[in-house]
Amino acid sequence: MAFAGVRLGPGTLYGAITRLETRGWIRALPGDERRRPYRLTAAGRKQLREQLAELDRVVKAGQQRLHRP
Amino acid sequence: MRHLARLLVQLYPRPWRDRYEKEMTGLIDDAGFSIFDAFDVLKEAFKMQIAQGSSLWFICALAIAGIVGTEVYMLSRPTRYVSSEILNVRDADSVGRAAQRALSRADLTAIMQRFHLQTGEEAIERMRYDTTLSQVRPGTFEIQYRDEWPGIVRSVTSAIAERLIIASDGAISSTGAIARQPEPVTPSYLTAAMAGLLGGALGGVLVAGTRWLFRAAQK
Repeated sequence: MAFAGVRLGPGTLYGAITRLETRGWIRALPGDERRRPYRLTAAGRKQLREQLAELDRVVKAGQQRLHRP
Repeated sequence: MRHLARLLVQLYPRPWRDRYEKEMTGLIDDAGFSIFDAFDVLKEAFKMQIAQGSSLWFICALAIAGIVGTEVYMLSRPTRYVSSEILNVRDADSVGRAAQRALSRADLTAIMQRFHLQTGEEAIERMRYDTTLSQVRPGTFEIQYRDEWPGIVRSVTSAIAERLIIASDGAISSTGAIARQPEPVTPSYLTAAMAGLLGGALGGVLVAGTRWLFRAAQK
């Protein structure tokens, strides 16, 4: 199983799903017991936005470093 | 591999399995299961047990780990041998003084040099630890020495007995009887297992207690 180019084992994937669901950042949708889709909650969306903004700051700081003589 | 996957998923805590087991096994059935995945599931199941598992699970798991650990340690230790000699003692009060002199740094270093053994403080302490002097009956003592090499065990036992006799100024004499030729010391696997079980269970109680305190502090 790969996500965004990173290989994930089933244990790691379900460890992450457990944490995200416990924190209320994702929610399981009704479906087959063996194939259950998940959706981001409002809190999850907010958290993701904050994480992406943080990553964006890191990327920008890195790029500035690269372009500095 | 799928049977192994199903077996490993059983290592997760019961509440977790009630919620995610079918999904996870469904994913494994679709995507396949490698040895990398087996380690991944094992690692995550352990983490989940720490986070959500019952205290009893902790205590049992660490007790079993304790037994396995002590038994592996016992099996990996080199075989040790014991030899002993019987001594006649005229004056029991003089035994302590004589033993102090016979087991002094100078006397033990001389024995070590005679048999080309490793010298130094640590070796002296080990030789003292491996030597025991005990009363068999009034007027008769037994000196015992343990080590990894049967030939050395016999020679060192005789040498320490000889030093004791000299140091006692005639209060101790040799009977000429060797109580025990070098023989392997049978390690007590049962005692080790019991120690491992108790140590592991105690560790489990501590971990479970710490986790309980941590959760109570979070609330």
